[in-house]
Amino acid sequence: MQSSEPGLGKRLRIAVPSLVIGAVLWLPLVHVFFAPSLAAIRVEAGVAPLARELAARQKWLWTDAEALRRSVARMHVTNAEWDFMGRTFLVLSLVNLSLREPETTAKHLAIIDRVLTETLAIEKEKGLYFFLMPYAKRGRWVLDPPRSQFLDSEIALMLASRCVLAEEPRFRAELARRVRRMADGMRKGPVLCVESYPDECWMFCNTVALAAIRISDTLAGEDHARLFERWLTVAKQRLIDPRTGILYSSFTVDGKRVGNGPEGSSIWVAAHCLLLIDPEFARDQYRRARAELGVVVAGFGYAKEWPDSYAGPIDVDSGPIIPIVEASAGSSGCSLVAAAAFADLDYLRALTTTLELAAFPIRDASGLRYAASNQVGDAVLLYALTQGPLWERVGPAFPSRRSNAK
Amino acid sequence: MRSRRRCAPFTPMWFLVCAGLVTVAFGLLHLFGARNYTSILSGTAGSTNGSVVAALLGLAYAFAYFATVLVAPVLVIAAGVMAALTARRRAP
Repeated sequence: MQSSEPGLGKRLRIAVPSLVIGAVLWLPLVHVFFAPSLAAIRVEAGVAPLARELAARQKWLWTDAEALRRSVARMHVTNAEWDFMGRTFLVLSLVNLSLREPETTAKHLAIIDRVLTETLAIEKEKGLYFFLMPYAKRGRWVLDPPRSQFLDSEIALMLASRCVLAEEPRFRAELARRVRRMADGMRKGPVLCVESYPDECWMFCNTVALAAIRISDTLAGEDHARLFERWLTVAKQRLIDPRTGILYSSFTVDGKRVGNGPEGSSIWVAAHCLLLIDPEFARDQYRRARAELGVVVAGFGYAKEWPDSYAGPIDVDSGPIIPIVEASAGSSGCSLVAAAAFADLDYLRALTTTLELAAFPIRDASGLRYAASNQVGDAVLLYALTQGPLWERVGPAFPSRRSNAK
Repeated sequence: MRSRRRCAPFTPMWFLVCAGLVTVAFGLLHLFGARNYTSILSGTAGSTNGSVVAALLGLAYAFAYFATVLVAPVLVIAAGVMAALTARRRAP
């Protein structure tokens, strides 16, 4: 019996080129099926459709006690910080949504006040460590009594943003206390930064603190320009990685030892916060981070956690890193905030395309969530798609020199 | 016998069968709700008690999904290209 089928070797000689042709034809086309239109993610006035869907889900969570409990519990299994940061990004998003659609302010204020009241109560009842990772209990704090800039800065930012929407004396008083404490702590530090964990300062937290102080200044009519100026001088001299020009991510209180060098999950949000202090420096940091960490391939965008010149770890901040391409969930999520803040629309669209492909969107009656993400991830994305009005209303402490010259 | 030969590895039919199997596996995982467990990709527990089964389901779903979206269409195109090339070679 003779077979008309060619042997394996012959089949492979045809199969391999056929597979290559298939890949060359298909893979560059995939993004077309996942890319959202720019209008779905970015609008100058009103709220972008994708943001509206995400917001619906985030707001629904705070009306369904059991769903919120489950969502928070899942995050606490890995990282208690996420629960806290999810609150911050939700509050910032709701403030921006209210500024975009003033008729929604009252509804959003109710949720914001609930988040703030509950967060302050948890901090008071359960203390410093509830929202921190367990290693916070192992080291020795430099400040006495211990304070975490992670908690103070984000609570202050939530309070300040909330008070931009409407006056609330109890929140204003709490904001004033936090701002005084943060500013005093920063002035005392050799590199004008306060620790978030024992003898561990984070650029993320300290730039959030600067943004919170800046917003508070506009509310209270105060001026921390001298602190901002000194901070910028010290940061540019002592807290920048010489190879990339990107701000370090973490370092000791004295600034002598660097914990993490230039890091994606830190620099994207830091650059966004610095827009309220020194827009030129912020833009320079974004450009450097985009060049070192941002990647767009075949229409899909993502961000690496570490530049090629720096060997950093895979940790809870980076999230899982995909080998070879080095895509980091943490850095990619935060890069959305920066891409939106610096109007890098091609990158923003490419990042959102990746979300639609790889983050497994689930749309149901409650709104939109991404199954591969979590509450904090979705809140960060929501903030990326809604941010703008709050920062515009506050304005930078030091407008660019070019505009000054004019 | 002839159909088994047609489905031998690296034949157009084999590519189509592989694409079909991957798609069916993805469809089944999707029907069983495994999409909900893909939070493991962001380092978040798929369940409140951090169950290993939830994590494995999430990984299996992600694998099947990417195979369906990225690999299966390549296999289908490759099957067509291969069939055309084979037919051309056989033509007198």
